[in-house]
Amino acid sequence: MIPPAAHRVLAVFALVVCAFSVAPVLVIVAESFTATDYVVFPPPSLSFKWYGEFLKRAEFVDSFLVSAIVAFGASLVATALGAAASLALVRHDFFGRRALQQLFLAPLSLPGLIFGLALLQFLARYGMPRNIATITLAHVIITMPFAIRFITVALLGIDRNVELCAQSLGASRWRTFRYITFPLIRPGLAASLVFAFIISFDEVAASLFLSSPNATTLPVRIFTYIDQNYDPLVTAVSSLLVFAALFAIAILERTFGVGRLFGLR
Amino acid sequence: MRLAATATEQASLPSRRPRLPVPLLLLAPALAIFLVFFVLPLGVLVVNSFHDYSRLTGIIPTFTLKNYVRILSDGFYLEIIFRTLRLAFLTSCVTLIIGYPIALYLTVASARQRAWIILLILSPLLVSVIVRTFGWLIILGPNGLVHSLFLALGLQASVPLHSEGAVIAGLANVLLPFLVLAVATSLQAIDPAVPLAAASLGAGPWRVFRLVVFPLSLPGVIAGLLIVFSLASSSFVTPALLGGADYKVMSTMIYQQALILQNWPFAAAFAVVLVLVVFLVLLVQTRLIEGGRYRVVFH
Repeated sequence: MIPPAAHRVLAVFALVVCAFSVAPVLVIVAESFTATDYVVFPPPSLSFKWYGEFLKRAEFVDSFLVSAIVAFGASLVATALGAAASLALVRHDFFGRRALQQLFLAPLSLPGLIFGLALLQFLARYGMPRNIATITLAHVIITMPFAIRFITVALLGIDRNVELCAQSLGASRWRTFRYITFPLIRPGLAASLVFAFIISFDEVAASLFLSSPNATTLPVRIFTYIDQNYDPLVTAVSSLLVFAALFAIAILERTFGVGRLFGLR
Repeated sequence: MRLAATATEQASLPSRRPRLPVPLLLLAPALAIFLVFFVLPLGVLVVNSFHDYSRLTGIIPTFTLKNYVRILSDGFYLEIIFRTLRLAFLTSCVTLIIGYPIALYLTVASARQRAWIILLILSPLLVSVIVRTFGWLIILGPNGLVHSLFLALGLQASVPLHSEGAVIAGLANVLLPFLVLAVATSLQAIDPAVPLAAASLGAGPWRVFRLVVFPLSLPGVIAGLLIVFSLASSSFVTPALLGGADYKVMSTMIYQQALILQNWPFAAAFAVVLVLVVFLVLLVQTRLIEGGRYRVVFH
């Protein structure tokens, strides 16, 4: 439906836009190997010194650990609770089902900044602390829509008769889930875990309001650092986030395909 | 209702084991967390937005419309709202102009090219916004890529950082995947026989595109534009880092009021106004096309 000349123009355009799309990330990774003491692109000479600097900065290493713990906890809890909720929403029909679905998807439409502000004022009002646990809870809510979506899609994809078969042969509800449903939705659960982990690890806006001297996530640490300083240290820290994302993308591409994850193929 | 049904079942069949309301048990943990840590905090936010504030005593729990009146009558705050909407509008336009041709190319590219483009366009979604925005600082900032390019070309070096243009470039970069996804899904849904039929009836390629392909892709275009608009109007990191200290939009204003000036009631009122703006956009979207903000991301 497109003539060859236009095809070629489009191809060049696509190439340029792809470059535009990945440019900021490439620039950061390249800059993180600079040997200079200040930001200059392209870097005149290369070294690992800013990665060494990162390891010397206790506050960045701390934040890296906080982010890892939060992301691990949030993805696990969101996937577990999301799986339970999806089972109820897909396999049962009851009063208020649609309203509940809307509620669980609502965090997608609410800007993270406002959720963070609301949670901050709520915690202060009831005298609750801001710590790793409250950040994790916030991230459970932010990642739950993704968990429920992925697991719902997985549940809708299995043949209901297989479960009914197991039950008619005398398996209890739990045994049916353990030996039939669970193995069949495992790809959905894995997608939910990986995706929730990435979303949580990258989240800035809500965490900005919930971070405190007790617990500051890595993206928040980067944000407050950039606000005050401009040196290559943050490029090294950011590159670590990029490498983590690349690792996750590799896993996702192997198991599902990035395109299919978003409904394209 | 479900409970009542189970109760009558049990009454009529006394021999049967009592059945637990399974959906309730499965839903309880997620529902509890959502009610306590999502619904309730939003309630607190709305309540606080009607409270007064004093620098000495903090939040004063009286009912007042003062915060809303201040936002909607002070020219300074109205300008911030207007600037936010203009930023979101311009970002949507730029994203459409660079995103639509990519989505179109995806329909004709070979399988290999498609896989690469999808990977390159979508995978930045999995890298933190903060990292992608910081990349723009290095591209546009002092001694950055643009600066070096200008020097190499012997041009007078100008640093375009801290301008609306920089914010739009950063936002377009971050939000491009959402638009491409929306448009590509609706282009994929077009039956290839339809443009072929138009061509066989004598329409040239441009006419086929203008009269057949583009109108059929409109639902995706509108969905994509509205997603980008609502995400851009509530974006925080990009305007905060690329806009500079004087470039205030609603989100950076809320941040400043809440965390630097500590005026929580005013920040809450501003947050409610921002949510209403985003909600209005979503309302238009759901009116125009069925489904929520991220529907295109999943299906």
